Amino acid sequence: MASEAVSNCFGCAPTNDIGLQLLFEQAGDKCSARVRLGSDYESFPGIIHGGIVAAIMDETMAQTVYRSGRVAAFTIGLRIRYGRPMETDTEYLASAEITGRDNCSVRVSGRLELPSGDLVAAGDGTFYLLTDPALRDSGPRSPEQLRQALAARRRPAG
Amino acid sequence: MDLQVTDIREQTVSIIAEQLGIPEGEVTPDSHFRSLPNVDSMRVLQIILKTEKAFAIEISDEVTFRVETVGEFQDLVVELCEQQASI
Repeated sequence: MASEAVSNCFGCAPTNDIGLQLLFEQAGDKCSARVRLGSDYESFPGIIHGGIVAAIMDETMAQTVYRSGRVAAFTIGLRIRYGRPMETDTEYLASAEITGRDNCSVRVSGRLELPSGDLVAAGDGTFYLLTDPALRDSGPRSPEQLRQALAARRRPAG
Repeated sequence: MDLQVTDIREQTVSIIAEQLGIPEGEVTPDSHFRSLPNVDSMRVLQIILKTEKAFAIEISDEVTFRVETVGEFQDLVVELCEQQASI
């Protein structure tokens, strides 16, 4: 829990002033968050940058993985498809659900849409689970700060 | 195999018609996507996502620009389904 208090995650940390500050809700294997962003995240005037849209999808899918098994994960594959522009100062719903898994990875699909259901973007991601064996295997390639944070964060599913 | 190909083509038309909210009869192989009613970039993406899910295939991004008619889209889906079956 202590590690969450000091998390500075660009996607979900409530204390990161330049972050997205996404607040997630979970329902079964699905996870969702409402998101409304201002002009700091624009590309063209009035339009949210496509890379920020990708970050929203990545964070939503990663949260879905974490909340489904209380194991953090790295993104190893991400495909974003855009259906229409995301506009500034407009509320959207980001959601994701797990579509497949094996011992070391989880596949997730996500959507960003207007409350009406109009689709802005669709995402497909593959996430590598940072289990104890995976962290042991990665050995010195994993920064000590990361390993400590993940160990502190892990707790029983529930 | 012929029947299977026919099924794929018919199901593709159903998906297009459903996503655009138009009768299946308005969706013919020589229909140009851009001339179909209600078509926009969002609905094209929805058609692609629904088609991928229905046939367990993956459609590449450039299809949005390369495919002009419903018939071309059907040919692509049939081809991808055949590739999938041969793996």
